[in-house]
This record gives sequence, C-alpha cells and structure tokens, in this order.
Amino acid sequence: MSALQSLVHSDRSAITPAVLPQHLAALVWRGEAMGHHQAPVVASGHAALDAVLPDGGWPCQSLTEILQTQAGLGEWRLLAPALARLVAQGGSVLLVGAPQLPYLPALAREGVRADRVIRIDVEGAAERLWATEQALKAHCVTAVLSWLPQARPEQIRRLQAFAGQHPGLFFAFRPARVAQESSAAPLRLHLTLGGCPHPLEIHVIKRRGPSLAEPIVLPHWPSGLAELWRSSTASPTRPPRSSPLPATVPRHALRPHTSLTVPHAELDGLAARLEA
Amino acid sequence: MQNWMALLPASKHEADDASAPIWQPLDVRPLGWWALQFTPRVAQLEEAVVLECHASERLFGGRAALRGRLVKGAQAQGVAAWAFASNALAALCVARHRLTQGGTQVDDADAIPDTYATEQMLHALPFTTLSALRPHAGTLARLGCRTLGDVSALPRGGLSRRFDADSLRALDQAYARSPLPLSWLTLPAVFDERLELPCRVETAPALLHAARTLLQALCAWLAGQHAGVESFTLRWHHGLRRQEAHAGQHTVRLSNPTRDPERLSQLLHEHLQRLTLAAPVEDISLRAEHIAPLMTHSHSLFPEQGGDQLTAHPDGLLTPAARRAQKEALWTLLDRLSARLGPERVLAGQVHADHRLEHAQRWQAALHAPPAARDPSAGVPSADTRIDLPPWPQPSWLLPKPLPLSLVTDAQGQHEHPHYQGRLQWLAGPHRVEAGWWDTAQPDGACTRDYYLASSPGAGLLWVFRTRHAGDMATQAWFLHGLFA
Repeated sequence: MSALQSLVHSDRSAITPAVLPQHLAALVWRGEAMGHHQAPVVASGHAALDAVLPDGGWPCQSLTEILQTQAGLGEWRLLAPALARLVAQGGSVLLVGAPQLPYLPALAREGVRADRVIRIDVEGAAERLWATEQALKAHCVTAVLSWLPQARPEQIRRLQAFAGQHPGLFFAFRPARVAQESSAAPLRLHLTLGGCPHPLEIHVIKRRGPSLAEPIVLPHWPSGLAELWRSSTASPTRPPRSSPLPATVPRHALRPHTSLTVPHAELDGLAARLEA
Repeated sequence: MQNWMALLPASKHEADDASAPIWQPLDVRPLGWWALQFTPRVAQLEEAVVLECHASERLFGGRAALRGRLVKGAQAQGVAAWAFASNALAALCVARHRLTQGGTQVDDADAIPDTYATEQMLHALPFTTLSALRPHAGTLARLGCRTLGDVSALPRGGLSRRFDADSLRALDQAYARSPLPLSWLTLPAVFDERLELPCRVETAPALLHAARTLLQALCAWLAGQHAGVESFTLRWHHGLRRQEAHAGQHTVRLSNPTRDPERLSQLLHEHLQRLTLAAPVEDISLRAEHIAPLMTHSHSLFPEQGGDQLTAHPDGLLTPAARRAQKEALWTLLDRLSARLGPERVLAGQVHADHRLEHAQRWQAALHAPPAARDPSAGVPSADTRIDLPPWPQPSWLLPKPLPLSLVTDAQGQHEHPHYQGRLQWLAGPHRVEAGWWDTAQPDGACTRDYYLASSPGAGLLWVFRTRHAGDMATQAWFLHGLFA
C-alpha cells in the first residue's frame, strides 16, 4: 500500500508542468483543467456563469442542453443577455415548439428585438426534430432554441452532429428526468428556481472540464423588479381584498389618487419612479 | 470592332445523360433569354445562340470579367461549346469545330480574336463547319479542299457558277466580307411554357424531374428580365380519356424574389410531396405569376452600417455579401418550413401599442410579413422598434389562454386563496387594465382586470389577474396569464 502511495506521489510530482519540458507540458491534459471548444463562444452575460463555462461563454457550433422540471422556469433570464448581444449584431432567433407564447414586448425590453424572433409551431416529436434539423442545416440562424421533451439519446447525437455545421448557438430544452441518461451534448445544465425570491440555480451536469458540485446562483429578478422585491419584503404583504386598491404594495410605492384619468393604477407610476 | 460569342447547346444524344439539362423541348430560346441579361443583341443563328457583347464590356467590368462571367454562366446553362470571334458566323463555325473536337475548350486568356485572327482561325477549320457548304461536301472534297481556307482560295467566279449563290454568300459572311442579317431575340412579356412528358406520370413527386427543366427555363427568362420570381404556378393536364379532373394546378409562393433554380426546385419538391394527382399526367406547364426586380449588389469591402444586418456568426465580422447570402438562406429556410408545416405555423411577431396583453403582440405568417421588414437592405428600424416599450418588467411567457387558478381555503376556513403549484404570495399590484371597450368585434375584446405580481413556490414569478365586475364580487375569479421566466 505504501509502495503504491509512493508510486502515486512520485507520478504526481513527475507530471507537474514544472518538471516536464514546455512542449510536452502543453500536451498533457490535467484533470482539473478546463477544456476548450474549437468554435468561438458568446459570453452569457452572467459573470458567475461565464467563470465556470469552458472558454467563458456559451459555445457556438455545439448543442447545449438545458434541463428543466417544467417550462417557464427562468430560461429567458438565463439566455436573454447572450441573445440580446447576438440580435444587436443582426442575428435572428428561431424558437421551435416553444411551450407558451413568447411575449415580445418583454423580450424587446431585454434587447431581443421582436422582428428577429421567429416562432415555429410544431406537432409531435418528429416535426420538432425535423424543424430543428432544417434550422441547423440552413447555417443562417444565429440562435436556435428548441424544446425537445421526447428526444432520444441517438436523436440528440444526430442533432449534435448537425450543430457542428451551425455557426451560432443551439439550445435544446429537455425534461430534468433525462439528467441520468447519457447525452452527446458537450454542455448540460440543470436549471431550477430556488425559493422566493427565486434565484436561478444552475447545476452544471456536464462540461469540458472538472465536474462542479456547487450550483451557480444567479439573481432571477428582472432589473425593474429587483427594487420592488426589496421594498416589498420591507413591509409585510397580505393577500389582496376585494377592494380595487388593496394594501399589498409597499406604502411608499402607493400614492393615493382618485382621478380615473390615469388608466393604469399603481405599477406604472411605481415603475416609472424606479426607472427614474 | 465587334465581339461575338456563339453558344451551342448540348445536342440531343448528349442530353440523354441525366446530368445535362434537357433543352430540346424548349429549343434554344431559354439560352437566348439568359444571354439577354448581358446584351440586347442576341439572336438565334441556326442551332446556336449568338450574342454581341462589345458594347457591354464597360458595364461588366472589362473584357476579361465579362468573358469570365459569360463562360461560367454558359457552363451552368448546359452549353456544350462556345467560341468568340469578330463576327457571328465565324464564332458559330469555331464553336461547331470545338464541339466535334469533343468539347475541349481552349481557354485562351488573351481572349477575343480580332478580324485578322478570326480569318486565320477560319482558314484552319474544316469546311463542313459552315452549314451552307455541307451539300457540296463531296464535290469540294474531290476538288482537294479540306479547310475553309482551301474553299476561299478557289476562284470566286467558278465557285458561284459551280455551286449555288448561297455558299458563296455564306463564305463571305463568315469572312465578314458581306453583312449577316440577324433577327434579334426579344424577351416574352409573360413566362408560360408547356412541356409534354415523354411518359405518363402517376405521382406528384415524379413531376419534379420534368418541372426542373421548366424551372431552368424560368430562371433563364428571369435572368434576362433582371428579376426574381415571387410566385409561380405549376399546371398539369391529364389525358383526354379522363373526362373528370381535366387539369390541376398548384401555386408556389416565395418569401422573397429569387432566380436560384436550386432553391426553386427544392421548394417545389416540398410542395409536390404534399400533392396527390387525380389521374396520370401527360403534360405540364409553368407560369410565372409575380416577378419583382432583383437588386444586384456591389461588392463593397467594408461592412455597411445599418440596423438590418444579419449574421449567423456571432463575431459579426462577415462581409456584406456573406450577410446577404445568409439572409437569402434564412428566407430559403422559412420557405422550406412553411412548405412542409404550412405557412400559418411559421410565425413572425409584431409589437402593438395596446395595454391588453393578448393584443400587445400579433403573430402572422413569416412569409407574409410586411415588405419593409423583408427588405434586406432596409436600414430603417421597423415599426415595432418605434413603439415605446413599457418601462416596467413584463412576463416573458404568455399563456395563450388565461389559466383559471384554484382557490384553496386557508386553515381558519375564512379566506379563499389562489394557488398555483403552491400558495401564491403577493408581491405587487394591482395593475389595472381597463381597455378594449371599443373592441366589441372580438369576444375577448373588452377587458377589466387587476393584474398582480405573485410568487409561487413551484413556478417562480407569475403575472396573475382578477376579473373585475362592478358590484358583482361573486363572479370574481383568478387567472394565471404570464410567467416571468
């Protein structure tokens, strides 16, 4: 046992880059080192997430899997900064089989221009895969977002092969139960929401690099709402009564007004003040 | 100085080869239509198309550039042999000679022969390349003539007495000693071509092979028009024996004008996959319904500063030409998706200034998007970017239909509280939307709602509303309308 240990120790000391000649040290892959993508990356816009992704961003020409227990848990918060950057450069975003209607005013507010979003309604798993494949093969869409609840591992492998020719980003949204299955995607994330105030918790299941035990925690709140959250936690909230203006919003945020010429009561004024 | 080019289409026996486009059913006219994009002086001379391109050299960037474009384009159009000379008939003779040599093209870079060089070329050609001399081939051969040089060295008087006047005139025209009358080709105003099928075709996808020939002709016609097609109709006719279902037709619409035969045939393939024929088809015809001028782009080195750049590559450092190519590819993709899934399922959205969430965005088929948004060169922001966006955060997912929330009575049994994957916690509200009373045409036009921002333990931030009817508390109900994802 001690002999083995000494062997291990001697081995470890032998492969430190200081001992090896430089041209060999560059070739040795060390377990704790981060891998690299051949293709460029797009910064995700979240510094904490960029720090744990290989090359510091979402990989292009590659499939990125995002696993969720259900749709609607923070995917736009996660992706919008990167998509906004691409759209600002003139890119377009294709949604294949989105679970709900994307609300364009909200996306435009995040920087994803409404005229750059194309939505494809599909029925059935075969159409989802076909439309996704066509989008990848066309080499012209900057970001493909595809919801693939029923995709099998071999189909994911096929999509990953097509993604190698696709110059932009490709995200596949899959259910969380496939986390245990093998997948050809080089980057797999499990996206969950924590308890109120609902931070985004990102578990990196697979990446080119050492495994990561701790989830990455990102704030979930849209910029305008973050202030609101702080103020609403300052004063206890109660469920709204039947009265049209219940005392659910913080007192300082509410300014009583009787004039009905102001059509939108509270949030407008509140948000406008927050913006100011 | 004139500069003639002769184009010889592939002959019949070569066209049996499936790779070569079949021109025979449509004769050489498509080739002439294609050539009309370079010069108006295009004519049909016997079995070939001749064109005079000296006057167009400046426009196409010099003699070498024009020559390169002509040769490259002619090869794509399935031309078997071509030649340049200083007059039309001489060019035709040289092209015929090259065809008999097995189509090997001598790509002499110093280009267009002048009058003297043309004469030297003609002297060396076999006299059978001039069709007017072919009836007298035996006599001429017995006289010891092999080349055109030999024939032209014969005494003119004897030549015109021994043979007919046509041969001497043709010889003079080939040597440019007398003018050659040509009737210039004009472009038909409407493209509507018919093609009889060699055999009866039973299934729609099998029509594609024949339709491809017509599409090639269509693209040649469009090239002459400097235009692209926006929609075209394929018609097919059943045999006369069937009284019912005499003919059928299918119109294909494109998202933007094009004259790329590959794109058109791929799209037609998608459409034909979805069609069934009532009876075997005996002939088909193709008609261009709408055409639009196709812009030619200058090759600029520097990226154009405009709001409407498109690049798939995140670096955004591609040339404008590559960006245009990608824009083309995007429209091709949308055409393809719309053909298979139906145009109503490939959607592009627009933002509208409306306080009601359902009406703040409108989705329409991406193929029928307004032309301003489709213009790849448009630098102006489209309409929705001018709409003032709401300053407060909005839900990023919208439920197509508001979801009624279940009410759970709390422990004291006094209050009912809405639940959605757990008890909702109120964060902000109400945000009153009272609009649409003018919009009585739609069932969900008028809306009086109080929106609240709620937090659910399982589903995160929600945009929840309560219907509000004055004085009627019993009918108030809670609905989930959006998710802050």
